[in-house]
Amino acid sequence: MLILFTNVTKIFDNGTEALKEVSFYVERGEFVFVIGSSGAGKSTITKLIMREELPTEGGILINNTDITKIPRSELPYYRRKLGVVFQDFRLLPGKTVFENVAFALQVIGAPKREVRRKVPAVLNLVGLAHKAKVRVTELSGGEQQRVSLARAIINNPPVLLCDEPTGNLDPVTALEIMQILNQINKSGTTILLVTHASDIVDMMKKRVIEIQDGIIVRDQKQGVYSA
Amino acid sequence: MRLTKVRYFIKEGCRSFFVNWTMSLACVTIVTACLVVFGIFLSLSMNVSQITNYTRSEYEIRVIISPETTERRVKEIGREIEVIENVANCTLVTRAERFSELPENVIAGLDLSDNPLSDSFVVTFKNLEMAAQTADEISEIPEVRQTTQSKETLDKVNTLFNKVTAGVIALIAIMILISVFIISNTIKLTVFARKRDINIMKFVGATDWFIRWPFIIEGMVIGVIGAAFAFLAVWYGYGYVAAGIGAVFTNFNVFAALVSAEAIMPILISSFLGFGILIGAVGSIISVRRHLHV
Repeated sequence: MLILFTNVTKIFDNGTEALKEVSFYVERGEFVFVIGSSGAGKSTITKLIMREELPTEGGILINNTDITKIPRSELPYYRRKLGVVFQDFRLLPGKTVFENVAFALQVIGAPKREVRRKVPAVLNLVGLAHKAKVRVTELSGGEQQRVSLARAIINNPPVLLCDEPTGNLDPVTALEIMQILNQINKSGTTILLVTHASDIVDMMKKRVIEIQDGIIVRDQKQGVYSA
Repeated sequence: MRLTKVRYFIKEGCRSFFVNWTMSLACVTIVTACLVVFGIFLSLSMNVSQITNYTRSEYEIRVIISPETTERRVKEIGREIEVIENVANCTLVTRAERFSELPENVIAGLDLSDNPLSDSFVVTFKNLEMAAQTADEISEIPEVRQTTQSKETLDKVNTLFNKVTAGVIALIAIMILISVFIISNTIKLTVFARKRDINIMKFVGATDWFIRWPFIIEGMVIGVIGAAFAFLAVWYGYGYVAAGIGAVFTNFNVFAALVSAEAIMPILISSFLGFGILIGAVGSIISVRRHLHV
């Protein structure tokens, strides 16, 4: 298995108990939706996987590595094995589409040749090859999210974390993004997608983990938004 | 470090400088202002040091020899004084020369046979701190009747020199601290504006140093440009002021001892560049640090 949460509890400094003894696992190549109302604890799961936060109790194994024990200096190398997509895209505003995607390669010291080869290929995959030289601030929301997706997958990460990736998009654009994600998943990448977009969950018919008040209340294969 | 990374850091550092040009301009202005004040203190301290050294080098004592001493013995005494370690220079002033130095109204009607004065030596020192001790050593020569040293003047010069040096060092130290504080706070503003970028970099797996380097280079660029402006301002300003002082106080030798603009140039360039680059780099490191803990 690729992701394993065992009895994970997360209590924030302000006393909020975001997760209560949560346990679940995700196999390689799975597509999993994490759903629940606002404040249910969905995003805390992605924060824990990214090691933005540490669990108060419990263990998290990613690819057989106990990520709670990774020293701070090693965190960048761990994060390079994760692709992350956010609701607000989190692109570098002063840079072009090409530069934003290339940045994930520059960070790991990839040679220029590799950057020139890989970036157009991945931009082609997300349908943005023709906008490589455009500044990201000049793109629509859907296009920006596609840039964010391209950046997330350029290093071929085994896991792709998506935190409300369609939250800022209209239904048609959201559907386009989901189609790209489906394509990425079919190539073998495990996807954990946090959302409260019921129509998308219902349409995709993938595994659904539902969280309420920090507790997993449903874990259903080929599930829908409302049980 | 890979060459591709170095190129990336330099390119990013310079790019950020121009992209965030308003903040860069603010930082350059502050660096320039701080370096100008630093430069004023620096040139002041160099001049105070030079003037005090000049005053100290001009300090001399007069050694009066007993009138009955023979001319041969006087010459021997001169050689004895010269070999004393701390003596820089020993010049014989004969009784005839001393007589001729007297004001005309004093020597009116007198001829050299009435000269009441005796031979003497004018002695200067290598180390002024040891002058009193050396004077005592000279006094031990039996034919030496008197050494006219003004211990009070000597002490005053030494005290003034020590006080001025300590004061200037303290002022420069305070200036450095104030500059670091102001500059790191200004850079902090630019870094804060790019907090989100740093956050993104962290999530795509950038190491702390990968994030820091462009900021450090940007800080160094700010430092170099600030140093260049400050240098021009201080150098031209100094040349103007030094020429003005020289023209007003033409009769005061001490002002001839002012450090020339040409002599001050290499010190200004090196200290401004060093200080500017250091402040820019350190300010960036301090400012970025707190945003790296993601």
